Amino acid sequence: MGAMGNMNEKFRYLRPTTAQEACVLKKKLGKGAVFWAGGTDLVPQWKDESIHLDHCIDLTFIPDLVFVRSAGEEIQMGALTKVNDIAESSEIRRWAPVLSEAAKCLGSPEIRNMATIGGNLCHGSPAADLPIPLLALGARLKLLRVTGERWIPVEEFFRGVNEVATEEDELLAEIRISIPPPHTEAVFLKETRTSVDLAQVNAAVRITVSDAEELSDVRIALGAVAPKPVRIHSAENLIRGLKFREIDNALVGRVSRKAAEETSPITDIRASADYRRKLSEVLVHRGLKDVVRKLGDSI
Amino acid sequence: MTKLRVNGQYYDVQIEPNEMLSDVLIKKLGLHGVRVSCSRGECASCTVLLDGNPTLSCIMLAMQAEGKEITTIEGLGTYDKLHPIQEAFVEEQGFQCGFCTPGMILSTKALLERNKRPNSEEVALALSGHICRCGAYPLIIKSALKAAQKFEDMDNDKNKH
Amino acid sequence: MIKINTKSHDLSVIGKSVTVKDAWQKVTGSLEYAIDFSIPNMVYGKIIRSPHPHAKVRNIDTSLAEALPGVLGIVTHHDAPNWDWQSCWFNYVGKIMDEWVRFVGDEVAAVAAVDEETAARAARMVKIDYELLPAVFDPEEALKRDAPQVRSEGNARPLKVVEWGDVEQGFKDSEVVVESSMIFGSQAHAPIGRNACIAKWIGDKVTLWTSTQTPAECQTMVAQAFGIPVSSVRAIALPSGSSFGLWWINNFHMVTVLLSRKIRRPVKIELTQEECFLGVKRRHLERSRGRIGCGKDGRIIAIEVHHIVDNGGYGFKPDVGFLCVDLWGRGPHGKFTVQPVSTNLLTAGCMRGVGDVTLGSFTERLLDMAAIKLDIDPLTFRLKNHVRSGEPLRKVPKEYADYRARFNPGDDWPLPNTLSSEAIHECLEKGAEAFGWKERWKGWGIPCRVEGSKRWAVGVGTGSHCCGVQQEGNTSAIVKVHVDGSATLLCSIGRQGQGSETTQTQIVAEALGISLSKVEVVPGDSDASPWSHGSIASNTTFRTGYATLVASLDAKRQILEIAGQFYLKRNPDDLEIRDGVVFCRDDSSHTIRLEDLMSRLLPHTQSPPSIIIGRSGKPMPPSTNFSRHFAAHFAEVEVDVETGHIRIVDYLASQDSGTIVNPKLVENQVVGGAIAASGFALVESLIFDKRTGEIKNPNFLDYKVLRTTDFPVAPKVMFCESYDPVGPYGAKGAGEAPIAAPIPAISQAVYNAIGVWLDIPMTPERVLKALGNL
Repeated sequence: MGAMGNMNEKFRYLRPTTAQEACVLKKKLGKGAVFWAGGTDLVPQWKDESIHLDHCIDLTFIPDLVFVRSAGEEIQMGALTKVNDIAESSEIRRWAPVLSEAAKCLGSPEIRNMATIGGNLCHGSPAADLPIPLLALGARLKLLRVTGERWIPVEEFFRGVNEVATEEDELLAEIRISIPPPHTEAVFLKETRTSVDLAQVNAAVRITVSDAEELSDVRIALGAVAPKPVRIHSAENLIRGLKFREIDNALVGRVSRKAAEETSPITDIRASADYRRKLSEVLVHRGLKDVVRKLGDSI
Repeated sequence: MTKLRVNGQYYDVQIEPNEMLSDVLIKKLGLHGVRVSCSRGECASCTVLLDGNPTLSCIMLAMQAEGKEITTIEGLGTYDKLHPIQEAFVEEQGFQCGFCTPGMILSTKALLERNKRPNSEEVALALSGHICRCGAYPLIIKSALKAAQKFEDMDNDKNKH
Repeated sequence: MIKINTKSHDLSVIGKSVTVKDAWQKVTGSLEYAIDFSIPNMVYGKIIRSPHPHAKVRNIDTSLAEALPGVLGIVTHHDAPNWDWQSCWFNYVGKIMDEWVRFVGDEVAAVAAVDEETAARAARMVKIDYELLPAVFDPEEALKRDAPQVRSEGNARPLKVVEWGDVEQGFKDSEVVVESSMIFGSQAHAPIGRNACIAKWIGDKVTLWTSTQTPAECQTMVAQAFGIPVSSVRAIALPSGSSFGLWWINNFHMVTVLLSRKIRRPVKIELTQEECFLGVKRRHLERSRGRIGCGKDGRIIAIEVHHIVDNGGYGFKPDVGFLCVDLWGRGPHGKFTVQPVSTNLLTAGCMRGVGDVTLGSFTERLLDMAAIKLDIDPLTFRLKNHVRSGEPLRKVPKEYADYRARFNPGDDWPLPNTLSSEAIHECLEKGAEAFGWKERWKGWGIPCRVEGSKRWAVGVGTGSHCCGVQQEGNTSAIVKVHVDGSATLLCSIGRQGQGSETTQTQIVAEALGISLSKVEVVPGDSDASPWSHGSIASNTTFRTGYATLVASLDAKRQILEIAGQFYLKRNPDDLEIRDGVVFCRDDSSHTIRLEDLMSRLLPHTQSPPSIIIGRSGKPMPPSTNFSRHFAAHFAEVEVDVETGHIRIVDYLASQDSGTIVNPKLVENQVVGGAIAASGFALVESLIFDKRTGEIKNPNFLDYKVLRTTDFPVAPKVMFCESYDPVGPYGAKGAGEAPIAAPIPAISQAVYNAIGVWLDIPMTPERVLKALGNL
């Protein structure tokens, strides 16, 4: 029987004011201590008793983890930046609009006021919205621990359903994306049952055209079709390196069908596996056409 | 004891770490205008404003609200002197059963503070987090637009004098 | 019958969009629902629910739970009365708890403790031994002879038959015969407002407070459930948050009363959102199949529909309320059969527009399919075939069949079994004109626009429902006029957002000639409010409003007799009241204020009247025999043939509810019904686990309802007012036709866009499968 609300589990509340302090606490308290940001994923899980904790390490009073700034050829975002701020950031809208588009589609207005980019990534849901544009943007993530930090590409961050690469004592502190080179277009797509919903399938397509008018970089990311958000390299490879003018409807069709074949979706409340495969093909097809059209306008 | 600032007043409240903000506001401060329905952050009935931003009090740890300005529906107008947004909802009948109404009104307030003249689609988007099972959406949207008009009229009156 | 000549003078409050009485409470968040309500010394209860769909309870070990500090008592089936209690319209027939559990979520025990946390913890410590029994989840499987029996009376209820003429002959006579079938998912009421029950015993009398649409039935059914006099039960109805037929009198109320009786303390049981989804009630799972036969000219000659309805674990309904058979019953032959059957799923019962949302939608589909074959457009087909005022109604209960013979033609009531009023033609024609139907309709299966993968098309649908029912009791009202000329109305109504507490007072104010601000209502205290079905089956405006009107006029008559005899020296028939002043119609200088009349000493008694009590007197004949309300809806949809997603992009609803007492209120009801049905049309469906029947989506994350961005922001609503000869000031019911008309309109629009007919809900997967794309 489904849980009737968890009124009984007590835990202790801790409020570090720096990232370092948070890491020290986590290292000391171990598995039963949970990093807590907006709580939009954690609270429902805790109420449904699918997670248990003895300590809550509240990250929302650490101002150093909240920022969006452009630095050189990069945009740098603190993990505790609210999804709404990602959506409305003028830097992101200018240099990586595919990320702000995805942020706008996440949850509801109220959820966007509470959820954080870090939380959305660390929850490790295969249907999460922000991993998809970050995969297309080739983001890299800073994982902090007491003794230092390491950087890992976003593609290596996701391991499986609710499983991410952070070690037990690591805190996701920052996300960085490179500002795309000229003649790059990217688009985010999401299909849902009603207008406010988790994705049935979400997707991002990004293409860069070189000066020699070749597709120098192709990125196709899909969500909710595998145990984790994924890049479909085999589909990308079908057109990487080709001349821009070679891209026609038939080729777009082949790439999107290939992308769909590479998915391993499940059937759940929101959609059946067959429908997800179909949607994958449709969204990649639409994404490619949209990006190609925009590139055509700008070249 | 934790200090919470609610509707312009400070309260010293005993907060358990596992208590949600809605628990504290309703059970400890008697603010029943905070309505808990789904308790999973899905319906937005429990919306309060936190530093002016619509926030789901049923999935927020009460401890996280320390130091923030919390506004519930009780902080808007009173029975004898309604806030202009409340007046607009009364005039346009932007409710049926009334359960989602406090949340709708608070989110409308936040919307009008950042966009003085929204159109219907912008209102719909701003309120899309709120479930109204009664289906009063069109009159709710009308109420929000009426509220925007009221503020504009008040601004015009101010500018005249 | 009461005749009001309302066309000769301006109505002062009827027809005006007066602000609802509780508007200020709603916008300030101060309206108190049952979940907000508490009484001193109250303790908390938690219900323990079965994890199995069908089992015998072998043993319940409460020892650990009882030992927990703060636990005050536990009830099981050993404490419950051993007879069945029966909810309104057979929505629940069964014991409060017995040795069997019949669906996952069924109440099997309950714990009372000093606080909610302790009650919840204790609930988990109760150990229950079950002997698992085979279960059945599919209604057609449950009809088979060897199916597991959900209840002792057997799974199947007697077949409900409504027939006239000879359908076999009718089909032989038809030029065109079309056959089809349709499956409907189970829609959840999905209330935003949760509910609670607070029960308190003082001696042998129990009082309960709860959010309910049916205060009087709470009283009578608690009395029946506990075998105590009705006078020993007081039910106080609090406002509900969106009910749609969910919050009547439910088994959790009985469990609360039982628990309170055992521990002799007031107990509150508050339901979680999840319990509201999986522990109370839902719309039936329904399946239709049937055929229609028409002449070449498009007239319906015969309709035959067979409809299966699942009652779930404790529902015992003998049929569903399908008044579509009247709307489309003009042809000479018809046969509608309804087969209800029990299953080991959550109890199923009435939800807004029961029967007409489903069976009605299927009937409309048969109409459309016939129209396609005959190449007649859907508007013309409906205009040709809909029932007219004064024509026979087909859905007449067998027990009323001889009412026709006993009917006294001397009474000026409407003829029995004939429709008393309608404006369907107007709803269709004016609605079509306002919608731009002629320009947008391109032909059957032809979209009005195509762009890339998207198709746009329009559809029209109609719906109807009764204006109240009378089977379980008659509706009464009492009007008290006070010493200062103000008045209080006592009646039993629901407050689930339809504004009845306002419309009823509008009727009193109009009839008594006093200001609306001087009328209050006690809408649901069974110690004061006389019996009524409550606000179900679109009952309130028509039947309760009628009783309210009669009671008001009775009070008025008494006032005018006093005025005439002692002050104005005139025949009461020459007198009138307006703005709280009694005056002679032909000499307005002769007046007396109401408060003076009520407070001055009368010569023969040497005391003032002080109070006047108006009663509703002679009851209304069975309104299901003559009254219906109607809706015609027009929709434009956008269908994406690659993703299968359907969006509703434009909407117009026209409604015939007779005189509209409060236009803004009814507009809200109409749109609300349209949105709820649109949700069902597109996405809403409870999902049952194949092995256990457990509801897998008992929350708003997994069970989707429409949002502001899922429906047109400014749908049009128009009223085509018939004038009902019986309804108060010509008014009729309003709440359910608007939830019946949308599915036909939307599914027809989808057909026109992409050429396929779909089951409900019309999910993207169903769209793509039907198009051969999945």
